[in-house]
Parts: sequence; structure tokens; C-alpha cells
Amino acid sequence: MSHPLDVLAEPTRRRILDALRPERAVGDIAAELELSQPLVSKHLKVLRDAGLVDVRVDAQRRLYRVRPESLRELDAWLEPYRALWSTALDDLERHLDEH
Amino acid sequence: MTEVRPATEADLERLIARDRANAHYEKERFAAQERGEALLLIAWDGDEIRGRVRFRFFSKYIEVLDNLGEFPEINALDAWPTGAGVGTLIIAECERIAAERGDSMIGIGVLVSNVQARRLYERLGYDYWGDVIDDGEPAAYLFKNIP
Repeated sequence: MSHPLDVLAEPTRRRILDALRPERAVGDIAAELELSQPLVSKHLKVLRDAGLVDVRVDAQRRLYRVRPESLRELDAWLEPYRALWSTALDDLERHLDEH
Repeated sequence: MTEVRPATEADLERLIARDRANAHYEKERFAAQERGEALLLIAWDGDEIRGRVRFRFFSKYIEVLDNLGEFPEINALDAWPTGAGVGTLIIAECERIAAERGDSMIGIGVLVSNVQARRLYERLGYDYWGDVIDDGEPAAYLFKNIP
């Protein structure tokens, strides 16, 4: 399985992921993002293979949705870097106070 | 004059009576229509059934869904007697329904061994897209753009 970060490095896939709130059919995503349906379908397959998206059948349509679990994993991966970000902000605040 | 219309429960009995050995397939197709997942269309010539098709709302082949997207698919097409133009009429009705739904494409899978059917689809404007596997058998996938 591809790593979610590798998969989301592609800008179109990030746009598709953003468009999946709430769940949507491929034709609706293609229309909203002004992309061809085959292109969206191929990107959805990559997102699905990476575990970022899943699909359910609702009678006449297949609805794609974000898998929150996969984003939680990404969030956990970012956690140690948050400390660096907080430190950098503290440094900036100190710098501004001193000058 | 042949007319193509969605099956009713009474039609299903007539369809099954024609081929009892495959009754479970017809029942499953009708049940799918009842669940809103597909249409089971029957061609009538007066009081005689001349053919049927399952109009799926999206492809049953994962490789089609992953590469082309979602659009209706003609499935389980059969017409009798062969060569009487009923198959062509059923396909035309499927294309009309697809156009009415606002779909831009319609597809069909045809077994590699079914050369005659493939010739008909190509004559009706269907283009080859790629190879698929249909219940373990090699098949070609064809599609047509809906104007």
C-alpha cells in the first residue's frame, strides 16, 4: 500500500479529497472540479488503494468518502513536529518582545 | 411492433416460463430492479416476449469503474429469434434511457467467443476499450458516447 503522504503529494488528489466532504459520486466530483470522469476515477483508485478513501453502493450510485482513520494516522505522524512548531512560535514571540 | 419496457412481476413469470432452467438468474435480475439497482427491460411483440436485457446503472467490472468512471452498462442481452432486429431495438432503448438520465457514455462487455454479438455492437457504433474478465471468461469491453 502506498503511503498517504506520497499519494497526497499529487495536487489533484488533494482537491478530490477536499471535495469528498460529504461523500460524493464520481460524476459529481468531476463536475465540481471540472475534470474528466476517467481522470477522477483513476485518482480515486489511488486514494482507495492508499486507504484514504472508501466506497459504498447506494442503489444507482457508488459513493466515495474519506476514511477518517487514515487521516488520524497522518495526524499522529505529524504530532512530534508540532512541538517544533510551538518552539518556533515561542522564539518568534520572544524576538518580537525584545525588539 | 416490438416494444421494450421494464419488467413487472407478471412479466417475470412469463420470462421464467420460457427457460425454467435459468429461472434463478431472471429472478435475481428482477430483484435487482426492485431494489433500484438496475432495470430489467423486456421486449414484447404483441403478447410474445422477444428479448430482455439488464440495464445496469454502473459497470460490474472494477477495471472499468477505476479507469473510465460510472455510466450505464448493457448486461445479459438476449433476443429471439436472432437476426430479427430485436437486439438492436433493445440496445437503442438502453441508449435512450442513458441519454434521458444525462449519461455521456454507455458500455457493454462481450465474451471474446461471441464474435457475432461484438460485430453487431461495433456496427451500432460501439468502440473497443479494453479486455475484462467476465465470470472467469475473457471478454472485450466496448463503449459508446451518448450524444
